Amino acid sequence: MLQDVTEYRRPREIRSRRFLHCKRAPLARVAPLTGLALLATLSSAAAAQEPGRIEYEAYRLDNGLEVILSPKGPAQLVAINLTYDVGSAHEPPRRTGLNHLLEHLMFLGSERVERPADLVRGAGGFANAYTGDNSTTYITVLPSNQLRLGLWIEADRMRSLRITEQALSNAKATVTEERLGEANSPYGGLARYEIRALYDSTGCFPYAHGRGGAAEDIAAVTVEDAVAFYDRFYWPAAARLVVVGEFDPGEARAAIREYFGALPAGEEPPGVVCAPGYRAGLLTLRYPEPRAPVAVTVVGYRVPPSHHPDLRPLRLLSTILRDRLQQVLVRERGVARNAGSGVDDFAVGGRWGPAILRVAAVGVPGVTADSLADYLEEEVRSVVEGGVDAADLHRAKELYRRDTISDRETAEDVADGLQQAAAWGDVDRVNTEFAAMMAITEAELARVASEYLRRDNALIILGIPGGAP
Amino acid sequence: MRRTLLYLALLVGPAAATAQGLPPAPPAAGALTEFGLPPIHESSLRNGLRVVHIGKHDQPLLTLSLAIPAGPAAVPGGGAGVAKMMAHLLLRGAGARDADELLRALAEMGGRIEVVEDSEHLVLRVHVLSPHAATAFELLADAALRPRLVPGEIERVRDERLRELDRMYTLPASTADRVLDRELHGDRSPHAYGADDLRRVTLEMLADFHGRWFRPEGSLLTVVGDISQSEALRLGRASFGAWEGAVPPASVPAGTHASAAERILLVHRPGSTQSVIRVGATASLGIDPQYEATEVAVEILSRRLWHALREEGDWVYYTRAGLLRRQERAGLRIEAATRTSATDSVVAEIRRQLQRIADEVPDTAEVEAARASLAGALPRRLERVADLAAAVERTYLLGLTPDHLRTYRLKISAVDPRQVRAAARALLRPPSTVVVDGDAASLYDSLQRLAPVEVVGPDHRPL
Repeated sequence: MLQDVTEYRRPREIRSRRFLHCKRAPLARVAPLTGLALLATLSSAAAAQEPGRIEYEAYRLDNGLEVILSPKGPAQLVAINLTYDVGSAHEPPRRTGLNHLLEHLMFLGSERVERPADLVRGAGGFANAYTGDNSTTYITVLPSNQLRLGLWIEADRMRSLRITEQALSNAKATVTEERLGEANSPYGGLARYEIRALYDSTGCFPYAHGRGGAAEDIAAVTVEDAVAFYDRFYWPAAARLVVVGEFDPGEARAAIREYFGALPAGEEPPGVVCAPGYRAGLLTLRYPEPRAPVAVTVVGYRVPPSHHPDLRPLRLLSTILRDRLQQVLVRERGVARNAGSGVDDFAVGGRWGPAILRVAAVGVPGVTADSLADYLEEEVRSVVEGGVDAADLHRAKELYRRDTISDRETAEDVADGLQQAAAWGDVDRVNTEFAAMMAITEAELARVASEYLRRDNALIILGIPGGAP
Repeated sequence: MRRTLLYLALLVGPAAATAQGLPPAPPAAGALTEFGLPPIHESSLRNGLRVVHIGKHDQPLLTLSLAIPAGPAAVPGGGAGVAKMMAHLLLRGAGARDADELLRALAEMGGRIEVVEDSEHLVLRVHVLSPHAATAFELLADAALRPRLVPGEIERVRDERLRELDRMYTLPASTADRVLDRELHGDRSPHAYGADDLRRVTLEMLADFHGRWFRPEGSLLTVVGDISQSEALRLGRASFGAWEGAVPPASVPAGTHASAAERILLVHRPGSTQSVIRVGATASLGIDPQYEATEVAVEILSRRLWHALREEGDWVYYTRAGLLRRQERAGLRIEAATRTSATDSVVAEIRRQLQRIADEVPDTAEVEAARASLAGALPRRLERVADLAAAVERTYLLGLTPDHLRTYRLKISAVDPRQVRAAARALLRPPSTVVVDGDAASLYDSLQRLAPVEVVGPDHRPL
């Protein structure tokens, strides 16, 4: 029977990478944080809860493939995370969605394997993939005795993909259904695509279009387009392989050398040719939704790219805002059914894109989208002008601590953490980022709040129920 | 010269730049080490509360889970509405803490609290960093034993649930899930309530529900994570030792609520461009080996649906079949979504695949792949502390032996093709219940050709 789960939690910070397939973190349903009642009794216990160090070995094959190995046992599992430095930002005009199509094609047959996902599933594992702005990730988790199978599959499809008319047709149909599913719920496409209005498409096309692409562009993609894109970007020198789990490092190194070592390096793939730009000033976008019973409002603030140090205090600020919005808009004023906040940094892979700090609310019946915008901005202003206190910051850090420790639990999450850190250019950041976050002060939060959470730095999206503009 | 360059390009170009050194066939699997499930300790407090403990010490995390037999099955006639209200009120303050203070205390521990509902149980879970174990036990006991059932909070929860119900009706997948669950499980479904049921719930009904069902004898406390058994028992006694009483037997009898005849419930959503499809069935299944054989059958069915609907039909982005084990009956649930014009084709194909797996003995290779898939996935299912706690708790609530998880792989590996067909005949053979959420005006005629169609609204009422 279907289980019904009711969860009152502070949701995890929206992860630093968000991809086309990722489910959105739910808006918080949490009451506010005030007071210092438990701080004294809990601080000593908390001091013992440092996330364990992730040990790893990083090296590079002669063909340029970057490898990171991290034995983690006894999990009886291995997670293989292979990330290519190519994403939707590399798509040419009139071919948006091409990278996502290629991600699907990677599961539709190569010279040696008809259906790689069948091999993985038949071995007790699962396979998935995600399209980002600057990267595309293939994840395979297998029982640890099947490590060689997972590596073999990735090495095979890195250079032996078979792109046929039939496979492309299937990928297009699947992607179309995926888009239909998103659009089939009220406001389904709102946040994902409309937030792009922040970026200036005339100034930098790569970051101004969505990862899913335009329907007409997807329909126009040919086998030749897909082959050319694949041949341009899918090479060892443009990829990073992370293996985490219960395995013998010597055997893993040997298998990687055997399977990937003979692949030609390929040329350095072209980077994104422009710096992503913002549209200037306050932007307001109205989004009529005939199927919706209530209003939704999203306010996105332009913030620096994910590698920028200001993203740390901004992430903690977002956690605090999430709780305040819940307390004031949902519980005290009763004007919103739900409210939340998150940081969305679109880019990894060494080519940095802009990020957004987003606050949002779902109204109760009778509350307009414009009113919700006023309520949201009022709460943001209260943080900018009134600052945050030590208790707010402490609790935000504790939630970050929990998330960091939880991210050590599974081989897949550890592999993801290593992959992200490597994309930032410093693998050990997977171990050092925690301390950096714990060192953030109230003054830094106050500074970034006043610097970025300004009305003239915002995009306001008004979701109008009933379709009236 | 130009010809020479072209020749060189062909040599070094993409066509030649394949994985030359790669073996042509997939490598064989290495030896699999024995699955290392930590020891399970079971004991009982003097008041009858069973306590199950598993130490898992690789991360400083802890999950406490208290399963109380207080699901909709406990209360005849609209019990799901009471259970739903109760579940949310448990999270709105307890003991000395109001709702805000409860959540603040959890945040201080990097913690969270959740309620999971099924037919028979209401499960309250607290997840924290393990050094806060003592506070976590205290919070859990407060929430379960001393919830704040006060008029203001009850009205607030009622308003929220009514709004949430309205929102759920706008979501095709949630609506289809709810309609299917109610069709299959009747009053025992946690979704067997509507707005009127929520409006009828009173403080007295909630107090009676809590007083009657929230009792230690018949409940189960599962403690998993970075904590010793002795410490778990000590904290369990301190927090739950004074709790008293026994849970009475459930009031709503088990039994199939699904229609015996094939029909399609069509949830009308005007203008929808995609149909959400759910197919389900329930059956009484034995414990071993029939249940494991059914798991293998459903895994095979899931793979066949993926191939037929996504890879060959070009119809869906996603489809899967799943099996949920319950105390009396097992449930099958198939998910798919497709464009309006392909809806009848997808429903017909799902029914064809159900018939096929009930009629034909699957070949050995297909059974072996499904067995390997299920057996291999076990460590992944138990990798997180929270997931391990839920799986162990489920084992106990279903009345399985404590070594069920430890012997699961052996049991799955012993399933043969004829057992798979026999199990499929018990659960997977049509008639099954089909729910389609989509534009009825466009779908009615084509679906009517497959089976009788009944058009309903998102609230499950006939249109």
